[in-house]
Amino acid sequence: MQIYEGGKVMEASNTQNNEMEIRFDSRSENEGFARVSVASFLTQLNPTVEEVADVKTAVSEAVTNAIIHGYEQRVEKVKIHCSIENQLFTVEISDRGKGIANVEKAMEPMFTTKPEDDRSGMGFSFMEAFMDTVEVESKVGGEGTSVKMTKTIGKGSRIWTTQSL
Amino acid sequence: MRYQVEENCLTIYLPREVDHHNADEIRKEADAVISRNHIRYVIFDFDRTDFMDSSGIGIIMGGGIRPSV
Repeated sequence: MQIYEGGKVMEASNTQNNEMEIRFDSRSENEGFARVSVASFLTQLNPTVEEVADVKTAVSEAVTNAIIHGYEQRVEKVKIHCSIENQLFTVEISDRGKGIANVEKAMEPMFTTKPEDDRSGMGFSFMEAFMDTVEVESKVGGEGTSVKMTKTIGKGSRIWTTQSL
Repeated sequence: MRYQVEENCLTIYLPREVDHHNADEIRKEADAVISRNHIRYVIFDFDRTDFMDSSGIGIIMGGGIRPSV
């Protein structure tokens, strides 16, 4: 909660902890569902429209990766775990799929292992652009991949005032 | 997919959400229209779109739009 006091924005004590987890089939039909679920959970932090869009896009990228690359043609479970600690939002998207052989290479802009499918190879670049941190853990051989991203909501938001000070 | 062909120009009206789920469909239908008509220009109209991820970039980057021979 923010209080406007004498020209400065003060943070009232706001120890807010919350978490949620969802699991769903790795079907592209569920990409929209995943975005909206995470966005709904994020609402309690009073994000701006832009912050919601940023998080939805990053989640969309990670979920799409799990579906296209992690599981390829198979239908298995994608897991999303979200947690909130004060204004810090953390989302972790994980799968038990194929795994990434070379994470550094995978995160290179425009790199894709599926150029024949007209993939832009920009998934990780988008995640890095829209979230504060992106951590990828992956192991080839059926252990899967986990993408953990954080974003501080309300960082750098300015108060507009029309009163003369 | 909503689209309009006028002479050699194709206008594609993108839907409200452009993501991996519908990117394939958009691309296939665009390819079909392009192969049926002599298309030289493609316009992407995003007026109705309020969400897009990198799958949309894949469509625009021309990977999916193959010029008619």
